[in-house]
Amino acid sequence: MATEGRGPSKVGNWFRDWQRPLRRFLARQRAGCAADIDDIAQEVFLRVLRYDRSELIDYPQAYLFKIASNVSAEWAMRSSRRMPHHSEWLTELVDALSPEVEVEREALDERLHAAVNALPPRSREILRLHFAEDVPHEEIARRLGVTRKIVKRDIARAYGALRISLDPTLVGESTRQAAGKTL
Amino acid sequence: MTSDAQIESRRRIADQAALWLLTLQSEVLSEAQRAEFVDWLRASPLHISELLWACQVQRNLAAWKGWQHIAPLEGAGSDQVVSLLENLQVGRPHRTWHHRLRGGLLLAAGVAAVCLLGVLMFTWLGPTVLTTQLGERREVTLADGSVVDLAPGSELVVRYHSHERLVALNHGEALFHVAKNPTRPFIVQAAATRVRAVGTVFNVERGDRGVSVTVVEGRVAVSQQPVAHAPNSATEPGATALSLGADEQVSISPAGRATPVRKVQSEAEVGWASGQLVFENETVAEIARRFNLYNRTQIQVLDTGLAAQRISGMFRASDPGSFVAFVRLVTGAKVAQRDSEHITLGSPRQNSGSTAQ
Repeated sequence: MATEGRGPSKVGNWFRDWQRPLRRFLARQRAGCAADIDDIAQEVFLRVLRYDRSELIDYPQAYLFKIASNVSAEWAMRSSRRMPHHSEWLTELVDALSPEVEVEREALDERLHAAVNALPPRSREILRLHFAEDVPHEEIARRLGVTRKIVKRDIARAYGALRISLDPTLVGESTRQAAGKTL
Repeated sequence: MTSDAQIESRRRIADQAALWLLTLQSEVLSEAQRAEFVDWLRASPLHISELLWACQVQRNLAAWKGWQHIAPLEGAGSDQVVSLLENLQVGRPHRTWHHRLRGGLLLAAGVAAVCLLGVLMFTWLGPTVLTTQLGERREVTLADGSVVDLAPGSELVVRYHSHERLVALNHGEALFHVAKNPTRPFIVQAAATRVRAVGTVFNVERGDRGVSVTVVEGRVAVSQQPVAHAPNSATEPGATALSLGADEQVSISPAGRATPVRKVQSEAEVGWASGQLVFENETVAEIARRFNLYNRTQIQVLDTGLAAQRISGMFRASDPGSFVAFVRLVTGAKVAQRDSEHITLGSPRQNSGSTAQ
């Protein structure tokens, strides 16, 4: 509370500023440009390599965070130059869901449902306890009579399985191009 | 068409990535673990890609409303459900399945980036990173009301705990206006140097030549401490703690040797925060470097003799031209080349090269 008369209104502003490029980025994605996670990752990777290893080790998460934020900001900037007529998208927030997005969300829900049901029973139960009932890992381990490590490993494997089944690019280029048209 | 082997290899990386994500979220990593994580990140862009995917999967699961339709493992009739689902779980999902999945890709990619910021920011609540690019100066009010002026090309990591306020200056320069709180000291770590304050105004600069601490108001304690031990032993003043008062400055070399405390005009020293650059007996090379931090127009000094010459003066940070004019006047240097983005300074003794005019 002790802002000492120096720009108290600025409290928290930088945090919002930080997020803005990401929102823009997301909005741009929805506007139908072709860029996917691999492209983002490639750019983040190149920048990670530019940093000194020991520097990264001090605060790896913080660096990663910063780099990802820069990448998405630049992505958004590039796209706004390329597609000025989409600028109305750029100010829109993630939460402001359009009907199309609503439809997409429903489709995603459906896919998730199938994918979660396809998991091995114990993994599914662990995820359910974790996400639906908010049970901590230790408690999940106790209830299922397994170690904490196994709980973590099962969750990780479940993420891996879901990730594969939620990614259409893994079936090839032709379907991917078709995907662009659907949006 | 992606082959089964490729999918299998991607899947392995996806598992690793998810494991890293969970570890980062649930544990405080040791230095060895952090090193392992960094090496893993640096090994392949696929690793980063999969980390993004893991974030996204997690985010989707957390936002998903369908959990009530998932039967608990020991619930009535769950055996039936399980056996049916196990049959469904074939080695590879059916093609048409993938067709149905396509629509969500673009949304997914977008969500992933937000996810990396959102999820990681949320779960790695600890450090907040503040950075400035070249030419950018930033004033930031921290959660406790302290205000930081960040010089161009600087990076600061803020970690607030209940008993102390920790700030690491990774590189660059910052002026701290610390909000008073005697029970929660404000500690700045720059390389092995720590500066401890309760409520005061001071400047810390970290560059190639070491760390320099200047006090504008109040008093701070400066100590040396190996960086590796920094996070937990923060409240212990080092054995070699040095008390620094207003208008006093101390510099510590990268090797850890401190200069004697000297009296300075602190307002001039922190003039950068209000757009002034003040130099006292500083080399032309160093002054050019400082100007280059603040401006798009980059000054280049070709002649090593000129670069090593020492100059004192006060300039507007945003006006590299005035510095160039000053250098020409004082040293007789010539401007070898000039356009909107570069000013190249050469020595008057030099034979006119191809670029000289």
